[in-house]
Amino acid sequence: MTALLEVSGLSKHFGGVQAVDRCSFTAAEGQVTGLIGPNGAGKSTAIDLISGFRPPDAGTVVFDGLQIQGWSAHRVAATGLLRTFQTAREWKNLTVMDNMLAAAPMRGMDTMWRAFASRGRLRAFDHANRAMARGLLEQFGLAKLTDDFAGTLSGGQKRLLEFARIVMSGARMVILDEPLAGVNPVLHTAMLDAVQQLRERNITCLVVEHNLSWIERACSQVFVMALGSTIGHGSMASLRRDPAVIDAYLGEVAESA
Amino acid sequence: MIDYIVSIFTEGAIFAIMALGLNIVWGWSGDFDLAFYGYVALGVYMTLVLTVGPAQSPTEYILGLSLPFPVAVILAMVSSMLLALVVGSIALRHLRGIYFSIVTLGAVYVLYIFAGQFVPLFNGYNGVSGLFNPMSDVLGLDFTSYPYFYLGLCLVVLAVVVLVVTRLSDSRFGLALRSLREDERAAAAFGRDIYRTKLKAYVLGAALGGLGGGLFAGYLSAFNISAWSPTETITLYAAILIGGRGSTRGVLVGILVMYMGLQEATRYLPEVAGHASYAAAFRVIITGVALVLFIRFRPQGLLPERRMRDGETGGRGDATVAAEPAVTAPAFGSGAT
Repeated sequence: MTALLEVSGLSKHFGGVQAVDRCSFTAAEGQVTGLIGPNGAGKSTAIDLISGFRPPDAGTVVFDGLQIQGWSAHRVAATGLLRTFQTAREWKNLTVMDNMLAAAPMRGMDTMWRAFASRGRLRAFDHANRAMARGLLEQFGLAKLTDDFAGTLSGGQKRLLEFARIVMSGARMVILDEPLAGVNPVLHTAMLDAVQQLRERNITCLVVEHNLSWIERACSQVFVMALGSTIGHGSMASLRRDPAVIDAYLGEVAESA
Repeated sequence: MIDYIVSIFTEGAIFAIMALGLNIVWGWSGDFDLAFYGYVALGVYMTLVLTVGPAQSPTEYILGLSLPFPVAVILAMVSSMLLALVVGSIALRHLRGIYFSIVTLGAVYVLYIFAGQFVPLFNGYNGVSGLFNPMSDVLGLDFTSYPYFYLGLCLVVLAVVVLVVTRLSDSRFGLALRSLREDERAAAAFGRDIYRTKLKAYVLGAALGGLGGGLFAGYLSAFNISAWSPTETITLYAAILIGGRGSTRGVLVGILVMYMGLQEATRYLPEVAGHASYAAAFRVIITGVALVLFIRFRPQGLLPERRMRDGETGGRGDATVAAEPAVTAPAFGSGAT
């Protein structure tokens, strides 16, 4: 298994707080990797650093052989490395279909002059995109909502739309930041299926999540972060026996989770 | 009477061009730009100084060329775009929301004070004058037929602008802009270059502001800072909000209602001795009340931005079904998404 994403020595401080401190981990291609840790461990900051939403102080991020640390967010996204946010961030006053179309790679079709140049190519592009979007909305169970404003969807539906948009974007890898936040527990299994859907499409996943039993079902490999650094990795079962991990994060919950 | 109708429609067409420009910035891109009237004013000033010939003492202004009117309008658009590029590249880089508005307000007041106080630029407080019925000599029009020609010219330009913004609205560029308006971090996460896309929209909006200003110059024939103030931007915002933010048809309706309709409605107000400007003040009050009422009860406006259904026809420009079937489409095709 080759690593698609390789993070090493990643660091970031805010004033006197070392939020991320020489954090290192990898995500294997085609796998679902978990990233867990207590609140304040620096997981979300690490995601911001990798995805270009904040510049790191130090460290390297290698995605698909490309050093991308310090790149701006849209450039990182253009390499095929996407991220989601702790809350679903649909474009509320756009329809579900427009959300899909706006997430698709633009391939130069979003320049101004394209609106006036030969419409044949634009139309073909639009047809192909719509066909793909309809298929995906069908698969993610959102077909009936195609023409609804995305802001009217339920929390779970918004999450599913996010997954559909990720596939639509042609991503090679996605970092999911707490995908279960705001989702009805009844739908947790559905979210597991959605992650499996991504995997079947060969989209590598890195999942940050607090629900450890869900992480155990979803992930083959899990990294644990505490105080800004990675303190252990392996299968969830092995981590439950790791004294350092128990001390930093699992504590007594380890038995019951 | 007919002269009055011709003049109010000419003004309406010019204001519609400006409002469509501002709608790109606020309606699509989501930036509450308070500098917009600066691009209009620069368009007016530049058109004047490029057409009226050299300044005669004691007046002073830059350039003083005698270019043909259409050439001057195009150059005026370019200067508005350049100014927008400077202001936008500073204000759009990191600032959003009210902070963006404050910086753009500051920028327009710098221009306002500068134009009023620095005499060698645009003759200071007295302004620039002398553009009488542009192109009338070339076309052989006398002063009775000229207003009809100018109305026709403004309507043709408006029609072209409507076609252009409709195509842009339906394009992927328009969709990308709207995604930025809705949530720009999410748009960046899907690969959109926020800064460049917003800056493009900002400069494009200013181009329409400059174009409207150029036509305004030909209509007014003279211009000075007492003829405009940055608060004029609010009139344009009122038209956009009440018509339907983001919607091309909505903006046209907004201009019809809030500008032309309001002028017409307050026209027969009785004169009050010693209060010559009270009709104008009354219009400002009505605009304010209408804004508050619309924000409270119908924030989407009279003709809201349309939601395109995913029709069988495919192309965004081809889809015909509107979110509100009760609304019949005017001649200028689809509005927004």
